[in-house]
Amino acid sequence: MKTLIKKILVFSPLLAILVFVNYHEDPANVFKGFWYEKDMARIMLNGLNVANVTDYDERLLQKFYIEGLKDNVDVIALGSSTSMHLRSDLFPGMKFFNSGVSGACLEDYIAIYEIYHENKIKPKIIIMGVDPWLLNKNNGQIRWESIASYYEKFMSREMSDRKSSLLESFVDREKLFRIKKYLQLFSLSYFQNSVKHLFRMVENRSIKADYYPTSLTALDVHIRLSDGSFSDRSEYRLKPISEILKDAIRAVEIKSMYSLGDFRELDKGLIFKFERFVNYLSGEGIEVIFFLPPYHPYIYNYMINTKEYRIILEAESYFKKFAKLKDIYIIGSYDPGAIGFGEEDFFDTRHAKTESCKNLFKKNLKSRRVK
Amino acid sequence: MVFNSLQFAVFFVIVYSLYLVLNHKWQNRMLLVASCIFYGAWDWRFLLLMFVSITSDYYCAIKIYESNDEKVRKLFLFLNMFISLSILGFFKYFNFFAVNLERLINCFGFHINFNVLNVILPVGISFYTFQAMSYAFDVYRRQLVPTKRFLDYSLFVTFFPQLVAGPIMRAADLLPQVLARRKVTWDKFYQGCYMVFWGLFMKIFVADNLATLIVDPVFTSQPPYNGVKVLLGLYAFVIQVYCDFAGYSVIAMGLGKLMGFDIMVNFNQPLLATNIQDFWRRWHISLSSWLKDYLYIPLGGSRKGNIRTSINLMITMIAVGFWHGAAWHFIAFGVIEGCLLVLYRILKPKIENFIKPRSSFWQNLWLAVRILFMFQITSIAFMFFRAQYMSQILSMFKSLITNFQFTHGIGLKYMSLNILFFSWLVILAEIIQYRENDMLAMLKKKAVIKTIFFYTALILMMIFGNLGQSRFVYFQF
Repeated sequence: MKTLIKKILVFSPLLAILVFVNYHEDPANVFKGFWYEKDMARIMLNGLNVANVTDYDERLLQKFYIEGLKDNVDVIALGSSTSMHLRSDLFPGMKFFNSGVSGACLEDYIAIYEIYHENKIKPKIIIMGVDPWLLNKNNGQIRWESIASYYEKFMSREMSDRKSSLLESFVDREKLFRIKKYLQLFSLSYFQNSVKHLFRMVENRSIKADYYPTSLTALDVHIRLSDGSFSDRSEYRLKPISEILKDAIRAVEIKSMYSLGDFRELDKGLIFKFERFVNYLSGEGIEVIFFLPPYHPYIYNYMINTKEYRIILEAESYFKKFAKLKDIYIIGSYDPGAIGFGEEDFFDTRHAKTESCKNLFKKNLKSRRVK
Repeated sequence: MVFNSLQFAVFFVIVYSLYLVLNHKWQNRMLLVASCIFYGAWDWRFLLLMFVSITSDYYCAIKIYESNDEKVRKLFLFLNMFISLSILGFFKYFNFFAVNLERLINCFGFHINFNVLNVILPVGISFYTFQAMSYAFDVYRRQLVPTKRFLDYSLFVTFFPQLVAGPIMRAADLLPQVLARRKVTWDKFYQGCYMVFWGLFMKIFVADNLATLIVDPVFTSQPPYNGVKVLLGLYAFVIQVYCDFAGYSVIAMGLGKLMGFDIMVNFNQPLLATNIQDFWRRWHISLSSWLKDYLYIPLGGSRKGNIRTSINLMITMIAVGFWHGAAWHFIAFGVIEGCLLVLYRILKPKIENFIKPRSSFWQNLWLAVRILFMFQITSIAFMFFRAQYMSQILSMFKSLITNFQFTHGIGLKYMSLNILFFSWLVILAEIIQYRENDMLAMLKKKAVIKTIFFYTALILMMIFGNLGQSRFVYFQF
């Protein structure tokens, strides 16, 4: 036992270094309280964009932003990063906010809507990005737990989900999520990001270490715009088509399809929740528009010819059938060819360019019957 | 549940804590439940399949043992083989045979369409099927007395450290350890911890990084290929697949050691092999020895003349290739390895007579030359292992001959430095283990050297370890 303790002590300096570097660098702003997200929200509420954003809790940003709103919002976009390029110029004359969050799942939509509801904000239109993993119970998305209490409130109020309220009384998902975040102090992957962050700061002393407000919408750093949409850094936005194709080939080779792992069937539980949620929104007099974000042509072609991923056809078919039944307008398709998108309309394997999405929306919104 | 995941770490802490406090009978039962949970985490349906195989092996072995009638004994042996191989054949090889038979029939002008089945390959089926089959074979050969303890037999097959990616343990080695009380000593504890750590290092730092940075980009690029890049990609791939698979085996050994089990060595510094025969005595030892004992030797081994020996070698190596996957490039891999073995048998006496270095300097130099030469052969043969389709193999081969150019700007320096950076510590450890013929050689060094070694490995893993939790390469088998 003494030998074991001695051996542990010999290696404990490494643990101390890990903890120190994680805390000091904190690349995802986990240990700074919520000031990062609160300050971002403050800048955006003042009508400015936030440049040089790094990693942070996007759900908390939504919460602080919505809580700071003084006026109503006419149009909200709910979706994942595939919807985060939708901007306010799609709806001139209307107040628009993009409440998209990376890797959004159905629980995110419900939780974020509930935050709006609690702050007495009721939009006229909700653009709902319907990625296929919304119906994959194995999508692996857990970041919604950061605002889980809002999800639980909506579920117990509107869906009579007693199980959720019982769960809430025994397990506070939000607290648990926060604990998991603080455990990043001991995380190896967080350490690696901290080291990268440290080296970046040491190499590029001239670049700003932190975010800053700006009125520009395109820079060589990431920007969260004041309308909630996202502008990627120029290196990412301007990647050559050939490089994107190489990335697509590589993604296919290593079978890396975001959140579509173990997607064997459209989960009935998620379908039920989704339909109830959309019906609720319609019942509140909110017009819902579905947006099916397209995949890169190479990726799409691979997926529909691969048994593990062919289910996206089923997902699209389901969303279209449901939309037709509920008289919901649909824009887009997972199939880029169906909406006239080619390789040149994507800046990576999954995200269509802002301009391409804008043109798609403008074309479709004109022909939509306004409710 | 892969070994390099937080989920597994939590799982093992719970299992190990229980293991240390339970008595032997309850240890075995707990391990069986834990192994079922481990395997069921992949897909619970595969558990049922595995238990069909286990039940068949268990009962057939008892029937073989209890009967004195040779016909009855053979009947149960073949029944067991039929059930086991049918399950393996159906899940792993059905589509391969269906598609190729369809192509063959279509060649003759007939048009037929076999429905390709939409089945998922159960993880580890090749491993546990062979492990279970060896039990029945050994009972038939009267080398083993079957156990009547079904739960303990089930644990022998399902033991989670080696269930999904080997080593393929023989009943004579593992079953007695299951049946007997095991002792966990401090020595075994430290050895186990070292093995788990080293296996994780091989996987997380070496294998996954080489895969991401070198191997995948080379093998996903489109022709025309640059021969030098292809060769560097192959070097990286050989090191990657070795560290991936051997890393897993070492972790399995370590986990077993922590619980007082001795799991066999599956890799014995194969990248330092001096010839093809030596290579197959060091690489995936559990598979090659299994096929030697249950296929090569029953076919006649080397006892029926040179031609028959060569045929037996080819059949065995084709089986090795086919075991790895239901695809023509795996069979081609087996054929090439078989040809190399046959060629070596023929040339070996001539080489040994031709080159006989006298001084230790020349002996060491000759050793180094042979090792490097063998590494080249291995790298080129492994092209068949990694490439996805035959046309890519042909293009890459062609590039090694017609486009072997050190062209500026294609990142050769980057590739070379990355290969060296990610593999230097493993190569160093391998050389030390090879010279001392002891896989635990690093543990026996002086405290200062050990500390420097572990600190270096830990720091490298902390900063550069690929923590993407990728599946072990051999999980497809």
